Amino acid sequence: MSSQAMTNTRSMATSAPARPRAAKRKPRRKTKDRPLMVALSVLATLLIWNAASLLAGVSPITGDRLVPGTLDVIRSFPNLAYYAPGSPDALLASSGAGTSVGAALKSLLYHTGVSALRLAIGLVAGIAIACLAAVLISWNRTIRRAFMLPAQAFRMLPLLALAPLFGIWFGSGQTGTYAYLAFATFAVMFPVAVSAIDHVPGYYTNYARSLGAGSARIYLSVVVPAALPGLRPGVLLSVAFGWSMVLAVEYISQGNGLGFIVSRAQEFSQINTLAVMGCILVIYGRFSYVAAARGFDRLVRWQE
Amino acid sequence: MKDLPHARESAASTPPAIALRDVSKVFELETGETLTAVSDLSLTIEPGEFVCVLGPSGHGKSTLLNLVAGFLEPDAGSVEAHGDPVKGPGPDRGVIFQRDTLFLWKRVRDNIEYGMKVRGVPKAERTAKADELMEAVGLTKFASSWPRQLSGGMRRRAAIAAVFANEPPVLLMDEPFVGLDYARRAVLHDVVTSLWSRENNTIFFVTHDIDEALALATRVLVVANGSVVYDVSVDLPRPRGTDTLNGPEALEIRKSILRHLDEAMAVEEERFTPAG
Repeated sequence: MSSQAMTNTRSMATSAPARPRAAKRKPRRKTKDRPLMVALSVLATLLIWNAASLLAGVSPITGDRLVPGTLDVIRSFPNLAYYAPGSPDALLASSGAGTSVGAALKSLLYHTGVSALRLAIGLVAGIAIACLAAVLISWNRTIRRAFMLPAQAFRMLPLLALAPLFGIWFGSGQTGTYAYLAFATFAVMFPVAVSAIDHVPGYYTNYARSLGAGSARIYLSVVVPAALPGLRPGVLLSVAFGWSMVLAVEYISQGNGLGFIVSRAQEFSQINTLAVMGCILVIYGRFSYVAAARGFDRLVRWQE
Repeated sequence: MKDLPHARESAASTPPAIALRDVSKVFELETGETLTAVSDLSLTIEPGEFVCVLGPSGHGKSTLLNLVAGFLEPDAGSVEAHGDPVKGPGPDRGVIFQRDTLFLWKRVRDNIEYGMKVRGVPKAERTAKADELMEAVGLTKFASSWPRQLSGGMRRRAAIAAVFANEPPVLLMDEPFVGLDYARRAVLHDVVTSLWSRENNTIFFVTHDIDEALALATRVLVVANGSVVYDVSVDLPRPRGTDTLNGPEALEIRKSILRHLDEAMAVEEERFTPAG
């Protein structure tokens, strides 16, 4: 190439826009009335909740409201102290005597830690096994298509109903709990992972082939990373669903964890404690969902 | 084809960059009809040519490119590249697609180095080549950017650099600049012609734009109804500025191309065969 042509190229090329079109993701559009809308929706929820509480009446057995109101929930929070390891029988929780917010927080922290660890181990193992299995069976298009039907059938499994079965197979110790949580996560993730690989656009493969890449390299360096964003719904669903799974398995067979508190509270008809646990789990579910979404988006920050 | 100026036999010493002999390609449509995309087509392209292929949509331009790329197999006839039969895609025939195919999960530098890495080029050599190409296409500052952080024109430049980095003797480009504005196209035309002059490779460039073809090509083919209906040399001086492209010689070629396109549309052959 002539030097004149090259100089021309450089001058024209560098005269193009010097800054990236969008260095960062577009920030979420904030509207001025957003805080007002949030406040209104919270107020409406509180109103409906407490109206339902008043209308539902009182339990003839315990004397508590059948649908505890907001104040009932706040007042009952210290009762969680009775579920701390080594505390007196949870039956005392009905009286509310000798409890404190600090002790309740300590107890809640302990059971949260236990449940969160179980959830984390189950999620990591389930997601890893599901992705590995999807990568292995998706290597060949025919095999992948053959597995699609059973993979879709996993979606229909009554996962909560399977929890006792894992207790029978693995015993009521930690092995059974982890196995069940990993299996439940696998059942959610596997069809999503197979589908994500199946939907990788063919033009990526053609492009890599035209650059001289072989099948194995294309699969590992192109198909697998290209499929990564497609896992997002499965990961978020696993996290959201994971809390229900942990609760179910602890409810049935464990002597600690948030599900254990729910089980004991239900055993002693502690409606207010059940309502406290419901509120806490809503908060945990929301926070873990947002954290998982942000973590995943960070992992695929290259995505458009 | 034989009386067209560029439908020539390959030279005895150097095999042609691309040679198609009596090639046909028929597609079966979902409706049961068949579509003859390429019909008994013969074509020879010598090394170093910059061939632009014009023609109406759906008349076989992209099918022709895909046959040369090895993404499609002919139903009849033979396709050769550098004297060897085409048996599939390969690094000797780089492809720049109409669609953006940069790997979104790789930064610009890694995209440009991908082909070289695949071929086992040592890291120092890869880095030097990528640096040189990023400078040539004006993307040095964006070596560490993700493709999503680039504008449409910058992405096209990155895609061109990524394919040129692999040093393919033949470069196939399927409407690579469609959707870009005039200014960005002008920059990209300059980038491509500069790299082509430097690398001395063969370019097969599919486009809808006559002005683009006149700005770039050494030879223009008009493909209609699955055949080459016009084949003309473009010996305009370079760089081809506005004056050159509006000069009498360019206008004469443009008129001839338009006439052949009009004729092709007027006598559109029955390429669809009903089912059964």
